[in-house]
Formats: sequence, C-alpha cells, structure tokens
Amino acid sequence: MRKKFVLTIGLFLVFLLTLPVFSVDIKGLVTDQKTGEPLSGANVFIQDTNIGTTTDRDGYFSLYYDAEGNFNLIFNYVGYKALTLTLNSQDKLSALAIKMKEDIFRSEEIVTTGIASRTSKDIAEVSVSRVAAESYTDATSYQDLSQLVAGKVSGIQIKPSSGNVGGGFSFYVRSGGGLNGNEQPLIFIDGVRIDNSEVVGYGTGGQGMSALADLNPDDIENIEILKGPAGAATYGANGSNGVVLITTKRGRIVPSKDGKGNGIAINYRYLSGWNEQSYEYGKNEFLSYKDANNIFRTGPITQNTISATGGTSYLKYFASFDKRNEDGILVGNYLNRNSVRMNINAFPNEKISLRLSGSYSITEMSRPWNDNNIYGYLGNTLLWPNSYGYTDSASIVALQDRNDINRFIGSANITYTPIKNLDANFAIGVDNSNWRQDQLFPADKPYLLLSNGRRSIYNRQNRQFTYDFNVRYKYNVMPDLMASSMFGTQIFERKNTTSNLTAEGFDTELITDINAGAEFKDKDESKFHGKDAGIFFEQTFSYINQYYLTLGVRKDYASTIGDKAPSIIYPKASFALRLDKYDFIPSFFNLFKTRVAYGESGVLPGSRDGIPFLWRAQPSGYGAGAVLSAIGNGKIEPERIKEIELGFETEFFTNYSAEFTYYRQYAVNSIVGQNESPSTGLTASSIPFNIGGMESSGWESRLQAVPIRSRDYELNMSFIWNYQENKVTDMGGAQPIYSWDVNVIKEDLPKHEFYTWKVEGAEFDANGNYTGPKISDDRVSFGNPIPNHTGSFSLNFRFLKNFKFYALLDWALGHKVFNYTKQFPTRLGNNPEFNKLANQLDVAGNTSVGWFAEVDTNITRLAPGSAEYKAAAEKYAKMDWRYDGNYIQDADYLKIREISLSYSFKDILAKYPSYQLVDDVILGISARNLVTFTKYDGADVEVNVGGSRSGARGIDFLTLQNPTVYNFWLRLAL
Amino acid sequence: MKRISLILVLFFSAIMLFHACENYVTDIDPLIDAVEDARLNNESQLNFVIKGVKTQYSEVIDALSCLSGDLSDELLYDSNLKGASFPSFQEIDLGEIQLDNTSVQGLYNNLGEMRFFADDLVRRTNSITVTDDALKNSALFTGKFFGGMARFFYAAYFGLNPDQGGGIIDDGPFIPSADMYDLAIDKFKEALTYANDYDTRLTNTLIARTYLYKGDYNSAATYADAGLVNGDAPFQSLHSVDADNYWWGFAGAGRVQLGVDFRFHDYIVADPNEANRIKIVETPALNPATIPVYYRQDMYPEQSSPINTATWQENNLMKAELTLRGAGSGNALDLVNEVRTSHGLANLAAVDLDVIYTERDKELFTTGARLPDERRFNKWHLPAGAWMFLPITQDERNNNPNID
Repeated sequence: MRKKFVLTIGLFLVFLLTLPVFSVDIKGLVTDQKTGEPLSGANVFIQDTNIGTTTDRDGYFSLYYDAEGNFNLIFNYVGYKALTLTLNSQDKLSALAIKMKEDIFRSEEIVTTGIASRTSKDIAEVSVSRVAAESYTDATSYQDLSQLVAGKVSGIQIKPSSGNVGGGFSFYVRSGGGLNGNEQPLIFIDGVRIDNSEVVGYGTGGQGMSALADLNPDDIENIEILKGPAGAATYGANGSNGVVLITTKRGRIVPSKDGKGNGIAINYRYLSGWNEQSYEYGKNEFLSYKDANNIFRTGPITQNTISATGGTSYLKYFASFDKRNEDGILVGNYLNRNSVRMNINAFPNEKISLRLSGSYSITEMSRPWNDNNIYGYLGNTLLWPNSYGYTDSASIVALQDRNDINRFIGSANITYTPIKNLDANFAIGVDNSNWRQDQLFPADKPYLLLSNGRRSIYNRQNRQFTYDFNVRYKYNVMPDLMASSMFGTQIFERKNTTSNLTAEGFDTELITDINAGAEFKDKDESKFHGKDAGIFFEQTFSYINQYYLTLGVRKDYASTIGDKAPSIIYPKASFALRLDKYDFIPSFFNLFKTRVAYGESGVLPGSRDGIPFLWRAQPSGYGAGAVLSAIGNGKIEPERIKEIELGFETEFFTNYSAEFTYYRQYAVNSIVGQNESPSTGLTASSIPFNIGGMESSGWESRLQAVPIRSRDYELNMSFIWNYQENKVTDMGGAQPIYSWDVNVIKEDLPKHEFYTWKVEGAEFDANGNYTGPKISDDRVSFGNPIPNHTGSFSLNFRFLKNFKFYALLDWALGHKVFNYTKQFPTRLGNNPEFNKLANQLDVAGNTSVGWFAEVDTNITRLAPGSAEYKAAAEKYAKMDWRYDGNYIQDADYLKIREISLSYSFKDILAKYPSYQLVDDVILGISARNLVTFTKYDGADVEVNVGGSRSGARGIDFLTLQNPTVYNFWLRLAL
Repeated sequence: MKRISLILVLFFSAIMLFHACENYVTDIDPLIDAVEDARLNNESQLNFVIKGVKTQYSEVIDALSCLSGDLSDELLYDSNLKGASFPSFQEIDLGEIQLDNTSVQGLYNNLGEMRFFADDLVRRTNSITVTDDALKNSALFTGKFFGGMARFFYAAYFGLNPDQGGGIIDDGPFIPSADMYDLAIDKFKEALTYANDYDTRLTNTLIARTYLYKGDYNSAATYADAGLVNGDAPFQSLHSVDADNYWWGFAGAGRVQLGVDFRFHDYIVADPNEANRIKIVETPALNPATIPVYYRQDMYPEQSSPINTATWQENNLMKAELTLRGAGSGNALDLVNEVRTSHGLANLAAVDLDVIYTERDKELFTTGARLPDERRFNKWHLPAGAWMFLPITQDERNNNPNID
C-alpha cells in the first residue's frame, strides 16, 4: 500500500515536471463597466506573488509572468469592486478587456472593526462610519478636522465652541457615552493615539485652542469611526465614546506620461478666501448694535498645498507641504500653519511590509478676548448701551495672545508574514508637541485689574507614545468554516508638563520681556505621567461566507491610583448575517446584511482620584503653606459602559443603499463626585464614588442614492438622520451638579439639561400694579443643549462631465441654547424692548430690575390694571434678567453648511498635447456657513462660553459667532 | 506532550505579560505638585502645615471684611461703577442674598477649610513626636488661635436666617452666635497656653472682641485690659502678588465692583486729617450723567497690601466703649483721643456711644467691623427682612444632614 502511494506521488511529480512552463505576456485595457472610461492607475497583480503593475494613463497594462496552467489575475482600483480573473497560460492573454464595476457605496472597501481587526464593510459586524476625506477636500477647503467630519457620518455631532480660527471643538458620539469623562473619542492618526486636548493656557475669556488645529485636513485619505463600546471594546478604557481612526494619504504607483515605467503625480492647490461676519446684530436687540457690528472685519485666507506621490511595487511614497494663513473676523485672531508630511510604504520581500508616516507642523495662533471677559470686543460693545466702558478699543487692539506650536506625529508599522495566514504586526507611534504662549497687556494701555501691563508665558510639552503588537492566524476549522485568532497588546504612555509665569508692573511698553516686569505674579507648573496597557484576544469565525461571529476580551491596566482602578476586563461579541445570500430575499437586493454587537468599555477615574487626601503648596504672604488639593477615594474604579447595537446595511437596485443602527447603552459604576458640607472643610474637591448610572439609546440611519450615473452626469445624494436620548438614572443620593447654575447632572434628567427656575407670569397688587414675576416653586427642565435629532443632506452633482456641484445641509431638533448674551445686557439697560416695557410700566430707573433702563418720558405710561399694562407686565416678567430660564431659547436650526462648484479643464487640456505637462486644471469656489434658519435670536447656535471641554454646555455669552467662509481655488495636477 | 508544553508556554507567557503590564503602568514619575497626607505627619513638615493655616486665614479675612462691608453700609454696589458687574455683590448690597450666591459660597468654603486646617494642625501636632518645643508651641498656638478665629467669624458674620446669626462645624447642627462665640473663646483661651507675650496680648484683644460682640461686657473689659497696647504692632493678614488681597481685585486699584459710602468722603471734607486713616480715592462712573464720581478704598493699594485685623487702637476703642457701657475702668475720652492722636487728629471734647460708633467706623474702616457694629449699635440700614448676616450657603444646607 505504502509503495503504491509513493509510486503514485512520484509519477504525479514527474507529470508536473514535464508540464510546459510558459512565459506569457499579459496585456489589456481596464475600463469602467458603465461609462467605458479608461481607468488609469488601477493595480493589476498575480495572486500570491509580487508580480504586478498598474494601468497607464489610457488604462492599458502589460506584465510578464512565467505561467504554469491556471493562475489568478486580480484588479484593484479605488472606488471599484475588486475583480479576480482565473486565466490559463494557454489562453490568449495579449488583449484582455477588463470592465470594472464601480463600488458605488464602497461596501467592499476594508474598514477597521476593532483594534487590530479589518474587514470589508459588507461583512462588518459593527457599525463603522467612514469619511472618504479626499472626495471632500477636493471639493472645498476645511480649516480643521471638525469641519471635515461634521455632517458626513451618522451618529456623530461635532460642534465648534466659538468662531475663533483655531478654536476648540467637541465631539458628541451617539448619546455621549456614560456619565464621566469629557465625551471625547480616542483619536488615532496612522495608528498613533494623538493629543485631542483643548489647550487654554492663559485664558482669553473662555475659549481654548484645539490641539488638532495643526493637522492638515488635506493630508487625510479617510476617517473611520467606531462609535461606542460595541465596536471599540478592544480599545479598552476610554474607548466608551468611540474611536476615530484617521488614515493619511499613502503613495501609489503612477503611470508615467510616456508610458514607460512609473512616474510621479504632483498636485498643487492655491486657495484664496475670506471669513466674514455671519450674523448682524439688529437695532431691536441692542442699543449698541452699531458698535457691535463695527468690530468685525473680513479675515483673509490663503493656502498653498503641494503634494507628490509615486513609487514602484517595492516602494511607494506620498509627500506634501501645506501653508495656510487665516485671519478670523476679529482683530487678534489668526492661524498660520505650515505642515510637511512624508509617508512611505515599502515591501522589501513577500514576507515583510513596512509603513512609515511622519508629519511636522509649525503653527502660530492667536485668540481674541471674548466670552466671560471685560477685555474683549463683544463684552465692550454688547453689554452696555455705551460701548467700551470697561476697556477702550485701542487697549483691546493692543492685546496680544500668540501661540507657537511645533508638533511631530510619526509612526512605523511592520507586518511580518513568516508563514501563510500568519501575520504579525508591530507598530510604534509618537505624538510630540511643544506649545508656547506669549500673552501681553501692553504697559502703555489702561486695563481694569492691571496697572502697568502684564506679560505671561505658558509652555506645554506633550509627548505620547503608542505601541501595538498583535499576531493573527487564519485557518480552516472545517470546510466552509474559516476562523482567525488574534492576540495582541497595546500600550499607551503620555507625559505632559506645563509651566507658566506672569509678571506685572512694566515701566515701559517698549521692553516687554518678562524680566522687565517689576513683580512676578503668577507662576506654576504641572507634570503628568500616565500609562495604559491592554492585552486583548479576539476570535472570529466565518461560515460559508454568510455568517460571521467575533468574540473578544481585553484586560486593561492603567496608572490610575486606587484599589480597583488599575485593572479591569472588557468583553465583546458580535455577529453578522448576509441575508442577501438567502433565496427568499428578492434579487434586487445587492446586499442585505444584519448585525448585532455587544461590547463594554470604560472611563478611567482621574489619575489622582484614588488618593484620599492630597495637599499642595499655596503661595501667600506667609510663604508657601499646605492647603488641601483634592480629596479622593481609594476604592474608586472605572465607570463601565455596556452597549448593544443592532442594525443592517443594504444596497438595492444597484444605485441605492440604506443603513440603520439602533443602540442602547448602560453606564454603571459611574463616578459621581459627592460634595461634603463646607463646614467639614473638605471642599477642595468633591469626593468620587462609583454610585452613578445612566441609560441612553438612539438610532442612526443613512440613505444614499445615485440615481444618475453616466459619462457626463452623476448625481449622488446622501441623507442622514440620527436620534439620541439619555437619562441619568442614579446619582447615589449625591446632590445635582450644576455648571453655570443652569446645566445640571441630575437623576431622571438627561445629561447637561437646562434646569432652573421658571418665570410663570407677572404678579400684581390690588391696584393692578406689577409687583414682580411669579416664579416656579422649584427648578424645572428647560430642555437640553445637545439636540435629540440631528441630520444632514448632501448632494454631489457632476454635470456636463466636468462641472461638480456639492452642497451639504445639516440640522438639529430638540436643541436649546442659553442666551446669556441677551440676558446680561438686558440687566444693564442695553435691551431696547426691555427698556420700553420698563418705561411703559413706569419702573425704569427706580427698581433694581429696571435700574439701568433709562427713563424715557416720551414713552406713554400704561394705566395699571389695563389690559395693555397687564400684557406689558407679562412680557416684562418674561424678560426679567434675574431668571436664567427667561433666556433659554429654542435653537433648532437648519444650516446650509457647505456648498461648492468646480470645473475641470482635463478634457480641454487633452486636446492640446503640447501642454501635456499639466494633466488637469480645476477651478472652484466654495462657501461655508452660508445661511442659518433658526428661531434662536442670538448670533449663533453653535457656541459655548466655556470652550469645548467644560461642564457648561450651550451657553452663549459674548462668544464669537462662527463666520461665513468663502474660498476660491485653483488646482493643478501635473 | 508537545501540545501540553505549548499550552504551558502560552499560559506562562500570558501570565508574564499580565504581570509585566501591571508593573509597567505603575512605573511612573512621582507627583511634583502635591503630597499625600501621611507624608506630612513629620516634625520637619510642621512649619509647612502652620503656614497653610495662616495662608488660609489670609484667604478668608480679606473676602470676609470686603463682603461684610458690602452687606453693611460701609460699601456700595452700583452698576454705574466702572468695573461693577457681579450680581452676587449686588445681592449682598441689597441684603437680598440668594443661598447660592457665588461670592458668599467661595468665602464660606474657605472659612470651612480654615477651621479644618486649624483643627487638623492641632490633631496632627499631637499625633506625632515633635522634639522642638518652640515649634510644637507655635503649631499648637496657631491651630488653637486660628481655630478660635474661624469660630468667631461664623458667629459674627454668618447666619442661618436673615436675622439669626451663627455657624456650623463639621457637618453638625446649627450653632447660634452666642454659643459659637463661646466656642471661639474656648479656643482662644486654649491658645493662651502656648502664646508668647505679644501673642498673649493679641489673643486677649480677640477674646475681648468676642465677648464684646456677644454682649458680655464685663468679661470683654477684663480681657481688653490685658490686650494690645500702644506701641504693639498691628496683627495683620499677609498677602502677596500671587495670593492677592481680595480688596484690591474687587474693591480697589485692580477693579472697582464696590465703592465706599460717600460719607467717608464727607469725613475727610469735614476734617482733612481724617485722610490719615481713611484712605480713599476717586473712581470713575460708567455714566457720569447719573453720578459723576464715586470713591473707592485705598487702604490696600497693592495686591500684597496687608490688612490690620487687630490693633491696639481697636483695643482702646473697645475699652472706651466698655467703659461707656459701664463695664470698663478706663477713661473713655482719653482712650479715644489716644487713638486719634496716633493719626494726627485733634482730640475730641467728649464721647458717647454714638461717637464710639463713628470713631469705630473711621478707625476700623475696611476691616470688617462695620457689619457687627451696625447690629450691635442698632443702626441697621436695610429694610426688615433683609439679611443681616451672610447666609450659610445652599451647599451646606444640601449636604449637611443636620440642617433642613
């Protein structure tokens, strides 16, 4: 038996050796199946080899291969479905006509579904949103990441906190995660967890600066977002608000213009634009409206961006340089950013691939003084009828707040495949930034609270390292049952140091170095060093390419101090089913996938929350003395957020797609700070306890349609609608936590709810005289600054082949804003309507409420008891500035957010071969924040006095409006 | 066998990795800006803790004297003052104070910390071995003295209801002013055990003041007689540029949210030499058409200006008042004129309680005496129902199980 077997094998080998081996010349043309347009730059390669090429400028390809019988030839092109042809060496292979089918909704593209999991979207078991950034940055210009993402994906709200150029912004993912943390997702760029802080330094009222302002959106290729613990569980603690994964542009093989070998693609864009005031104050709003409107200017924008990409099958590169100078709509606000990037992909052999990414930016920013501040333009023109009472305009102009930031973000990633189906990945990344702020109140200008100027210096160094290692092995458990096992670790380390120094008492404005100040007023430093480490395991199964199951677990460690804080386990499980592969599903469904996922994640306590008593040194006239710094709880542990999501994705009638996800989150062990009575003396901080809980749910949906698609016309529409709600279910008996005395964290109310006393009407004495407002017995709910419903509609229309029109509208419903910008001036006599009512009721100038309403004898006094008097009193009561509830307003909105029109001269240039140097010239015009429809009577619904990370939400207090932006641009493709 | 070996290798690798992760995350740089409580339980750290109590006292006394001045008729809040914008100051000025008034809240919290730091210093000192007797005495005197001062502040300046003075200690029940004064006196008397000569006279002055405010004139007279004397330096709270005097930033050169009552200008008009002890300067109005000019205090012209919180002049005036109230043995007129002479002011021909009231108004300008004086002399200036004390705050009422 054994001999027979050996003989059979021997004969078979001899047969194989005698088979002919052909060196074949494979040639062909790759075109779009529908339009017939040639596809330039498509990848063509022989499966399981390093042999490959790309199509030339006219869509042709040619490669040689020592073929032995059948082999697979694979075609890949961005935006098209991959195509695999099984060919035989004896076939006629010199004139292949390859027609590729567009992947209209990019469902076959690989997306990230976990810390080291990637799969195509059509079989992903969790909801993953993806922004094909390049398609947007080609159509318009974005100042920062927030503008690029806002309105493009479901389930994510992104709000700027002011109209400051370079200002902060905040994410709000789904229902905002749990009760703790600042609701911000983890953000990775090319695998590097990056600093997403709002940096305040020496304040200018309320706004900080975004640590993301120095990222160039034009370098981004795509953004993927995992929105909650169900998808982000393997990212461990702090992944409860989701994970944003940014991938920058990679190199690609570019066919040379002469058709010989590979070339280089160079893109250059010149952009010129401006920011301008989007909302004009009216005469019925403020007596000082003219002064307020006069403070604004037109802020110019110029940007030059050049990039180059190219390479071979062994080495690909992408390099870019970007210079953007942008002025805000107020004097003293600008951002100048210079950034350079180099990305390299190398494939030294079949077993190793290497990916290097690096960017360096030098950014200069300056903030204006606004918000809760007496030095700013808005505070000096909106509060009082007579402007510049606190600070004169010359002094405001002379204020300086300059910030210089140098930042390097880089990563190296090696993938090693020692044996078939086994991949080992190792990645290291660093985000290193140095921030220096120089703030100056010149000595020759008068400022309240200051004599002879002030100079402040703030330095911030932030270093973070990300290390990833994981191994994945794919194997067949049995026929039709594929499996993969993955084991890995992720380590994160952050070091942050700050130092600051202020001097006052400058005898001359001519010398402003800090040594010229007579007195050092403020000095401090801080140092933070923290580490997280996680070990994760993930097991996936795929059965007959129809059922998909993933189970995973992560054990997390953190530097947080406390008995239970440092170590915790987060599980996950997910399942997807391709219904479209069942016969009972109508054939017009091109894709129909359902999925369900469960995951847990957490929010770490503060790094010092576990220390019962911390003392610090407080400088004073006695020297530095010990005062309490914080009061912690040794038993503290992370908040845990559990999420279940279920949903589906479908494509039907080829040109339509829909996706829907419902989720429900439960936060348990939420950390609630319990306040001790002040009489105990323990008020340095609240004391953290794991006594809170929260429930939230919502859904997110997206409809896409491409009803028109031809060579000359293409219409692509997308409609997103999200709903979210949440409720704090447990505070463990702790008192409600207020911010600005209006936002509250309180049991049975949504997080951040506006909660204050309500004026129910006017009260009168027996003679009919107005005696004051009738106030609710207790605080009542006024709605929430986080909208329940959000959505967007985008439209991409290509017409006459080379014209492109793009528009994005977005909206929010169930949205409230506290208009403190209106309330405070009312108190100070700058509200014309309030003043008139005060005169009609004859209370102007003679009550504490109407004290600053100037007495106007020309206004007819109404007779107490008359219907007119009562109506005026009711209105007056509803404007009583002592009650915040009077100024919490509906702020639902619809915005025409982005709009652009461009024209490509590609076809015209093609007619002039002598101008072959230039492949394409595109001219475009775009605008942002064009029109807002809202009932809110303030300047902007998207502002917040406390910046983007404070507990205060939706409070408009002298906060700079977001500008309208116009851009013109010219793009050259060489 | 091989499979078992492989499983064991993987198992132990995982165990090592878990252990390595745990070690890795705990290997971090130590804190540089804070220290855990237990590390202060050391003789070498005692001075640092003593300074903490005094630091906290300086955080309290400046705001307390300023806000009590706002509630009294010493200071005025007017939105027409260039620099005034805090509703919390307006509420206090009108005596219509919300329980969550942020200015009062900050002060009340600081006072709670002052009391705790002082008591904790005594506890800590007694719980550790201190070989340096002088240091131990200094620590115990500081703890007792400022513990007494904190209780005095509760009694004299805070209240549960508009006309019901008193305070709360350590989550306990409300303690009316009379009882709280007694607690303060107990602490002061305990402090005397550890006091040097000057501190003894200083403490006696404060005990006298406490008895005086309580209305126990005989006891007050006894201690006033042993209090500060002409030639003694004033007892001051010290401030610095980076822990500035509250007056400077809210009612002074830094920013004027609170001006001084116009009578202080009248005092100087009537007798220019009064400017030697009543230091005020003009401050602008936002709308000069309404009121052309206001005045602000200039007692504390710098951020680091100290506040005289107990002086021999006050002791003299207390003795004079006590004499007029039939409790003291000194010559009231001489005592008052000795004070006036120290400022280059002409002698008065006669004194009575009204004169004492006015002399205290001038002499103790911006030191926090006016609010209790208005009550003691039955000169309350606000309508009935207005707060006569700074209210015990909403936070206390919310979190203290012994308060409704």
